[in-house]
Amino acid sequence: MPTRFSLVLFALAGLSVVANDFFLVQIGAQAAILGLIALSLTVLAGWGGIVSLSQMTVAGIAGYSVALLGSNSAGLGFDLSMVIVVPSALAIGTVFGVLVGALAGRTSGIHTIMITLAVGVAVYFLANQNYTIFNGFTGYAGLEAPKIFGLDLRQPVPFFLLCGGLAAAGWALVSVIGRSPFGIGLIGVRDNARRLTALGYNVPAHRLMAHGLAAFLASVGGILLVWYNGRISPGTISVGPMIDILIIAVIGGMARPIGPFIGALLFVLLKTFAIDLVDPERFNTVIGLVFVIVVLVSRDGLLGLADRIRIPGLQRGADGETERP
Amino acid sequence: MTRQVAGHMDKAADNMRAPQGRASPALAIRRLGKNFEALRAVSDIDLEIGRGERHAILGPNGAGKTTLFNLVTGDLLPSSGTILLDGRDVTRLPTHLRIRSGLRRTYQKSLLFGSLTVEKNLFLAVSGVRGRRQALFPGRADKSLYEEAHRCAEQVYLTDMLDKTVDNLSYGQQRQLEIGMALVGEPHLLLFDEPAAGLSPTERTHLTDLLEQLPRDLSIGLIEHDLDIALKVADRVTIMQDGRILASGTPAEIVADEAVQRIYTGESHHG
Repeated sequence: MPTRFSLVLFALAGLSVVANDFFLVQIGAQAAILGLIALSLTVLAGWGGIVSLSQMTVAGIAGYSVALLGSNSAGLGFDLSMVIVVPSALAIGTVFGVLVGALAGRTSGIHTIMITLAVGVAVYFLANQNYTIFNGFTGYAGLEAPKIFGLDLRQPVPFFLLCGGLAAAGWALVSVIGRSPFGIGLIGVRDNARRLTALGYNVPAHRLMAHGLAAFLASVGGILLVWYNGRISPGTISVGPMIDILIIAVIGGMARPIGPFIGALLFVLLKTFAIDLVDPERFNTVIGLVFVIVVLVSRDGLLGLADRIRIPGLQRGADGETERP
Repeated sequence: MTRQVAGHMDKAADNMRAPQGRASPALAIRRLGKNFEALRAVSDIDLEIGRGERHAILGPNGAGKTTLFNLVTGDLLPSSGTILLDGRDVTRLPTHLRIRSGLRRTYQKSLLFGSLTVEKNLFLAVSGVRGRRQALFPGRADKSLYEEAHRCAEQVYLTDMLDKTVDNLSYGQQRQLEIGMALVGEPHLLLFDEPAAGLSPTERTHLTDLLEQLPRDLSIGLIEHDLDIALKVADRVTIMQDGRILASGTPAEIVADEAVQRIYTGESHHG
């Protein structure tokens, strides 16, 4: 694991030297960010069998926290130092995710999907109509990544390394957790919650912890997302982006933590270059077709496909999780 | 096996030092009842399983045997009555806390983690009672948990199957794993719900051997349709019918009981 992790870091550093700014930020950083948010679904859905639609909402709550607590161009908020803003945003996003988990925890399957969808839509409309916290339809602009010790994270190369590094850290973290009693137990929650209870596990607590971990990952992604866009508005957390996260996770595969990043990369590439081939408004058709094809040919996205044709380094057991979804 | 025996010998020694601990039976059920709407699945049950006692519960299908087990483990909450484990009232205690205090059970229809390997299934069972249930990161402590899981696999003849995914096991192997997962830790009271269901004659012999080899001071409740297994293993036998206890006694008394003979030689032989 440490070798693989350092290999990834070397690859990121190498990319930052050879690739141009457009690729680093528009493709690399964006895929890393969306991958991080979708990574939360590896934990929740891939392992725990909890399909949540509100992961983009969790990310958005963390993003809005950055906007409101830090400096923005709307003249609202607290203008605190990033040293306080970032940990607070992570904490707020995580607590919000745990609350959603408490709400959805007694349900399963389609009911969980409906509750998390309802939460997401409710937060969207709240953000749209509330001007004291969310600044309504306009949202917040002028949100910038900080400078750390003179290193300007707004510059393409540092920002790419920040996003890529955090994505790699998220991947490594989730890989390690997949081998822990908690991670294996989460698969137990999905396979047979009743038996897990009969082994001494507190299943509701296990689910809540999964929501917390997932919300933390999504919050990291949410903070990076506002720095990437420089702004956040209700459109960032509307139903479209909420579903995009699920699409990314399903296309990439959720059995192992590398899947969401593969899905995010494909999603971003299609979103960026499909407009050269078809009309911009036809992007949904393209991603929809890709989605249908992937779901039809593979049980678990591109990861499942990699397992079947045995791509070195991507197959089962290569990065922690060894079980199929 | 040796580890379990050793664990139980420690406990036996504790009990000798504190003889008052022996006073309360492993399981005491008082006037227990469970209604599903108008159906009285279980009513007015009084039952004790003493320390080290092996208690078979027999009866035709629908007699309420599995419901009784579900009430003891907390999978169901009773409509009336009380349940005491080792003298402690657990009637309203959640299942996972009853398990942590030494209760184990197996299910009539195997409840396993189908996408995980045999090793991971047993590992989950071990870490469930060893207090590493929510450990977020793999740690040094896991090594001894895996070792315990491997010893348990040996006990139920699954050592060669450790890396196999449970969905790929044969039916008999799944039954072995089902039992193995209930043996981990130091159980006080083990409830077996038809462990022999669907097993071949050879597998039944293995199972009987396994049950007989369990430490003598371990209390056992056993639901079994196979009279040969039940009467061979049990110290006491309780017969249930229509949610009530029909008769209770030693295997010899039960075999001689006329009411029981009517059930078991009558039209509902296999229940």
